[in-house]
Amino acid sequence: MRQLSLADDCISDLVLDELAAGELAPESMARVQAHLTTCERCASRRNTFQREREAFLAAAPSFDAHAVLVGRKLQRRHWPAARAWWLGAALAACAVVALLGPQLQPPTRSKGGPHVDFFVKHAQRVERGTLGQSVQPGDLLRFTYSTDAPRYLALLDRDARGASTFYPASTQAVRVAQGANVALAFSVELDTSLGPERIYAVFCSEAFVVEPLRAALANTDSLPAPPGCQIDVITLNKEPSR
Amino acid sequence: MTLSREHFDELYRRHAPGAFRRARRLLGSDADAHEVVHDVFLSLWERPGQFAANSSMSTFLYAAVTHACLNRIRNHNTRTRLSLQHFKQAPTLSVAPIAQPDQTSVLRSALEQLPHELAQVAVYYYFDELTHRDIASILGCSHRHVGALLKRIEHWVNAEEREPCVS
Repeated sequence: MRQLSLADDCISDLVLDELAAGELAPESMARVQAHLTTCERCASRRNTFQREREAFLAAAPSFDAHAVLVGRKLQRRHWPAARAWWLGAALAACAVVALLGPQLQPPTRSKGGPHVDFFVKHAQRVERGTLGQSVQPGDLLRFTYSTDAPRYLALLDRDARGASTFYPASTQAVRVAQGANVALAFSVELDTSLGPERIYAVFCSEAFVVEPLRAALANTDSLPAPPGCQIDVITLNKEPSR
Repeated sequence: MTLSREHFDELYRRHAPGAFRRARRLLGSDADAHEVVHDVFLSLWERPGQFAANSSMSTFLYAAVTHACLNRIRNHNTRTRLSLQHFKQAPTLSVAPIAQPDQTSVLRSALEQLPHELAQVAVYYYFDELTHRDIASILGCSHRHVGALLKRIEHWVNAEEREPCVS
């Protein structure tokens, strides 16, 4: 087994990172700087790291910007609070069902196949979402899914500004297990675009790449189900904040 | 350790780019690497006490990113299991990440199978090309212990090679 492409006296990535972060002791820094003046390869690596650093910070100059980059509209930073509000609403919904019986559940869509439900948090009020739900910029949405078999899932959004992917953050749809009312571990903060908004939950039996679907939705304003897939659509109406 | 928002933002600017570079190299995916970086910094914000001030933030983040990446590699549903015998045949790694996807994917697959402690050391040694001293500073152990762990990796790999390949 072999390790190293670096010569013994070359500077490791860790030390280059410590140098960039200003963490080296003065004597170490002097030794490293001296080496960098004589070793073309280490100097080149340092320059490469610096270019990559600048590119990264240009794309994500702050943690909050990076959060948007990672999850687009995902607000994982606020997840503990989001979980609390959503769990409260879910428990309340369960309590209503237990007390009143299943025939008196809050009105929802007629569903046979795999589908998603959602909860809306507006200010401190949380309610279960319904078709055509009125929402406002800044409201938070949380989703649950139900499927009778493992499937691959992605959530896409179409509003006045275009099409975007709510879930997942990665390029491939996520395989979800069989289950009912399973919470997806993210919340969405609605942006300021107003008017009708549609959220497409795409359930497929095989793995799929999300981006072509998002592009199709952006270009055609519709999303027919690909072969082997089923789509559940949530409609919202985003109104100005009151 | 207490962490003001200003201090946290400064740590992000200093260290997130390097954390992303390593995660990207380990995982072979920009999207996964971004998620790892986000998770690591979110964890640091929520639990700043996990950073022991007797090490540098860089060494702390090397360990945190490595741990997160190894978990992700091991939990990846679509991973392809490759025989560990390829581990020995892996060519010397270049500094450039993603440049040799075949090499890094072979190593990545090997990391799924190594015991966690050894996998960490393998990351530092084969991916990061760190010295024994660097690895010792990250793990908080002696150089001698690092050498022993590397010996265990060799023994483990050799033992695996004697076993028939099971898919």
